[in-house]
Amino acid sequence: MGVMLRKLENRRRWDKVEFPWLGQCEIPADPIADLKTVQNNLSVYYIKEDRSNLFDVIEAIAATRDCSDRFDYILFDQEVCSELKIKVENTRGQTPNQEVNKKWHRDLTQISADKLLELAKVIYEKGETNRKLEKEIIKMLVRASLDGKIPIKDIKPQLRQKIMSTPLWNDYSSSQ
Amino acid sequence: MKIDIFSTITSSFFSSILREAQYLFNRKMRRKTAYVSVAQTYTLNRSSPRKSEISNITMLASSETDIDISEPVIFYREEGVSSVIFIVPGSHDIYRSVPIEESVIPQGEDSLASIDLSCYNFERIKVYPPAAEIASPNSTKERIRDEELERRINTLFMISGEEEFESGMISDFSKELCSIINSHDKNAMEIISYLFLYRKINPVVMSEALRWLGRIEQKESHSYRLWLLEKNLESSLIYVRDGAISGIAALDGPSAIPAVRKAIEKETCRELCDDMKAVLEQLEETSKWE
Repeated sequence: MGVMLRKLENRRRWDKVEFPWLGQCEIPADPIADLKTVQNNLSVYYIKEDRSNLFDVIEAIAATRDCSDRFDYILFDQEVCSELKIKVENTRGQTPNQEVNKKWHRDLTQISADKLLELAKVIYEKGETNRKLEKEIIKMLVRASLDGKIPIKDIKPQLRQKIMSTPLWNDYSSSQ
Repeated sequence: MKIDIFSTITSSFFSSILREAQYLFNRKMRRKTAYVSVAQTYTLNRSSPRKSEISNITMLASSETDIDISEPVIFYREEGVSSVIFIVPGSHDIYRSVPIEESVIPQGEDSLASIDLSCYNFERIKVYPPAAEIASPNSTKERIRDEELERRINTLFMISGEEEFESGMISDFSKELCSIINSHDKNAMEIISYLFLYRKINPVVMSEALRWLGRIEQKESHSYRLWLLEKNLESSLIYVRDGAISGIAALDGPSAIPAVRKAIEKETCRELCDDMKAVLEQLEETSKWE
């Protein structure tokens, strides 16, 4: 069984910090800001059990951004959706990696505010947050561009410039 | 441990430290009711304590390994809060007391020895970059320009609390911040540092700013930006520490390794500690190639 990946704005919102004002079974409100729905849908990516497509998905999402930055994300069991009776639909993603868009993007649909809160609670308790540092993201994007997974022309100018100015880009370009 | 305290005669060394301190604090507090008053100069070495009233300074001396504390002690007041400040020369460390009562501040040439400082806690507030890196306004024109810059930066930080930031995306805030630093380098950094240290800024804005400070590619302000990033690793706010470590990661300079190590030792949030360790690993890797 695979897991779902949700991009986070800031991993810090999900840290298990003890707040003295929190009641039992309550979670802080900040994580909800990372579960912003659009038309009651929540965009996630499916990650295979062996996580072999994890880097492809991270690269693809990172390539949609204006500039290089760290990448925070959370992984949670796919089963959570069925447990909470949340509908999962295969929909097309909006990244420069067409394979990722087609194969791995999902929408959690028809999400009510109550469901969203339930989802947030489960993910907060059981999810696995992680961070890729900016330097690593650039390396990943260089490789993805040179491998042709992400066409460099589809990357926004500032990020493209950053990628093409790295010694890595020159090394890879000249070795291929 | 014994400490000897004796007055030192004004020297060129003293004057230069004083000039720097006066410059820093006068400049920062223009238009406010600030004044600077030299109380007395002391040199402390660790042999025989004589004056209990400066026991806090003694404590600081013992916490350092091999430095003397020679200081012009400066009293300053800002928005009704007064503090005592002294400088550790050479290291450019500046210590200040947490607010001190107005009534204990001596007027004119009164001696520090008449004040009991033992009930005040001192904190290290600043490790300024070398004096050579601190720009000094020469003319009225330049001073006016600096005041305009200060207003521009203050406004930027004030209004940006409303903005929603998204990682990896350029915001109005980041655009303006980069533009200011690119055109005013150290002058801008000096004002930004002041805001960070002495003003209440929204921690999310601080965090965003710190991340961008690491990303700016500008030689002139590099050490100042690194200093501010390292300084903010000590913040009590988790978002600010997070912004600082992200900025340091973006800057990717191995010279930050000791500060990151220290931050890891102190970090109480497990997840942030893990992120700091990842940054440390990155910096150590970078150091192999330099």
